[in-house]
Amino acid sequence: MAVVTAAALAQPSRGQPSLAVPSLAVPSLAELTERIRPVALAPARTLALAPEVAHLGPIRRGTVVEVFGPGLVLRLLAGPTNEGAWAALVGAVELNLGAAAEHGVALARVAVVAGPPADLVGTVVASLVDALEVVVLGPQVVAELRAPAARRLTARARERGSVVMAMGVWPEPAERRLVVTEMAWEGLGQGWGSLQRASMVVQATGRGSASRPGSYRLAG
Amino acid sequence: MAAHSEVAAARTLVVWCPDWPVGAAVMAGEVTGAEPWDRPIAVVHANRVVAVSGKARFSGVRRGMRRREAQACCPDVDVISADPNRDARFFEPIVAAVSAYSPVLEIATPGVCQLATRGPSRYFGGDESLVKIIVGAVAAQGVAARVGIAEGPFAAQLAARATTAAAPWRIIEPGRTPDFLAPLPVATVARAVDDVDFGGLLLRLGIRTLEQLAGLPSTDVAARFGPIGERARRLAAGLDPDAVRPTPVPPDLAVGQEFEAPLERIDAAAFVARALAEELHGELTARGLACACIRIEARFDDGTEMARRWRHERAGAPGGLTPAALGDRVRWQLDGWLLSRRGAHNISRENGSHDSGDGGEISGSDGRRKGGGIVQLRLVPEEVMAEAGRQLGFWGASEADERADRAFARVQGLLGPEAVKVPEVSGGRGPDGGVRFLAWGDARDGQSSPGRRGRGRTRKPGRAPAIHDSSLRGRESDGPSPWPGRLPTPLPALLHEPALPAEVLDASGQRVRVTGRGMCSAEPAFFVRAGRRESVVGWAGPWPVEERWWDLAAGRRQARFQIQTASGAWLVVLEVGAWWVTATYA
Repeated sequence: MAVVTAAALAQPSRGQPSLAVPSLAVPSLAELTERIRPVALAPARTLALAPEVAHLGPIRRGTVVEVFGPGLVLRLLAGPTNEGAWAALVGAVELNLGAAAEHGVALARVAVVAGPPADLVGTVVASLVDALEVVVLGPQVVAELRAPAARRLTARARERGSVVMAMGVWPEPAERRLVVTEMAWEGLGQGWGSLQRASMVVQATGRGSASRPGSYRLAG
Repeated sequence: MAAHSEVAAARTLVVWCPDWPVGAAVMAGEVTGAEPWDRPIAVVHANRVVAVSGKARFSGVRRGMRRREAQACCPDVDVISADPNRDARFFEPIVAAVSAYSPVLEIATPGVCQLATRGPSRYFGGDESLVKIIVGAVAAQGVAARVGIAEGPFAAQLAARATTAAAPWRIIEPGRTPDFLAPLPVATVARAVDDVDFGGLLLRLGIRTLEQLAGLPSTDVAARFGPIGERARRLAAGLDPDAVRPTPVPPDLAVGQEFEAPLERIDAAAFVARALAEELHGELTARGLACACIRIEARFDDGTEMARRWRHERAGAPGGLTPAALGDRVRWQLDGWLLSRRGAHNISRENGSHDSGDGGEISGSDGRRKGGGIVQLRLVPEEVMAEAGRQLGFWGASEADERADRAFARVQGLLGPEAVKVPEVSGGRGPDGGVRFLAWGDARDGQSSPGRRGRGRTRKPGRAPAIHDSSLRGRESDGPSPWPGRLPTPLPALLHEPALPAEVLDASGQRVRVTGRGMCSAEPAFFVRAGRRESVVGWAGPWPVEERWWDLAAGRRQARFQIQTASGAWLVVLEVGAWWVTATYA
């Protein structure tokens, strides 16, 4: 008994003095920030989508998504605006916000920004990307963007966690591309009825595992 | 106990114009009739009565009633929609009249202004004669004011409210303010600290009068209710609520702007006001300060300088002076100046920093302009206090709103105020579903900014026919409105403005026409758009639309069709013999 205790006591005093406590290294501020940062759960990393488009798969925050099909853009906006997110439509003058309201978009959280002149596009879109969750860029605006400006915006969106929906071909490779390839309307006859429902087929392509490529059918 | 910090508030005179929204509406000429002041009038915001004229009150109309209830009580009541801008604009001549007697005048809200009586009272021979002079000066502007003098603006305002039409002023003897306040209910102080729940809580705790609240130990109140409670206790005891923390104003905090082209239009002024308010708020926030009293200085293109003080009682309270609230005050002041100068017959004031003298004769309808524009504008914080801090919503909702607000303001700064618009559903028959657009910051109550509560929405006339106005117009943002004859849902996703030229042909290649009786000349067989000819697989129409037939310039007759081909579906109209694509179903 006494021997064991003595051996145990003798243990630390052997060899180097154990004054140098290895774990006392002061962590850098960046490490501390990382350590206390709240865990981002999966839903917080993706855009909340309305049920009718939910199966298109998650749209990750901080990415650029090309969306071809105005009706699809409106359907994609319904989820986030109802979850408290703000959306700005830049130069998307033709989008019908009356139809947006029908698709359940909360118009109270939508702002329409006039298409900026070519030299201000980058600045205007950047300040919107900084502050809003969703920024929709109309076809002309996307066409006016040069590759360096697009790269900066992509980086900015990634940093801020906002989603840029481009209604045209993004000069950089985009995270996802959603294209409405077919649209079938029902309800219209020969001189009677009216357009009632549209079912659409959306072709999804993109990079990475999250892009979920494939063909999706959206019921009207 | 803590007697060393218990400083009685400075003696203050409060000028209160009762039912000011009504007065402003009358001065704005919104009430028709021979004797507008004698009409029963109710000012309504969001379907609730917010202010009532004496005649209407006599008939039983009360604040808080619904519009229909008010009309039931008093069928010939004039219902006028509330407009804080109007209230502020027409208050300016009254402020100008009072400021002739004291340079250090502060505007609390439109309808209430206050001044420290120490100097003026001695100069004019006592409180009583000062009050008489001021009541006379305001009466010369055609408004019956009530005046109260007591220690501190809070007590003085209550004294002013304790007056009657027969005895329009009430002077509390020096040192008697606590006695005057003692029997009043705690709801008064809860309103003053802008926390109605606090009043309810006090009632549930059995504290009913200001005397009971004032009698509580300072430390206990502060421990239980925090800064708001302590502030309320000091107010209830007739003490200066800010005596314990006088914060010196840091130098160089003023923000200003000079304009090369003099500012003459009110909307331009509003935009500048907002930007400057943002800037000042940013400066103050960076120093952890909130602004309790701000001086707005303007120089006009004829060299005149004017200055006014606006006090914000709840500056340091949670959600206090937001940039929006600050911007509102600046805009109101600029509105008032521009309006009064537009109507001024002669402007002969060339004095220094503080405005004195009357604002000239005001007649809002007089459009004459004499050296109207503002060439320089400055915002100077006169009194600041430590920002008590504001707890952001835990889920960050309000923060998102504020970030969006700032971003939109920045974009407006880059592209102009009309560049950012917000949609609003107001009802209509067209393919746009009756959505109209308002410039950001102009019309919609900013959900993000508590300072903007109660702001009236400006409704542009003429979009919807008046016949359907009250009964059929949908309330905002609750989806499709039940307009008869509206386009069947779903609405097209793309609108083409201007419409794209198209052609609809029958089987023999002739253009399809619509007869005066609304019949097609033949069945549409081909649809030509952008040079492409496609077979029609489905169509419906014609749906005749006759809009604004009473207006020769804006009236239009057209026949709508829905046309479907193998490649898509469109909304097509036939107007004056030509076919157009107005919208695409996509």
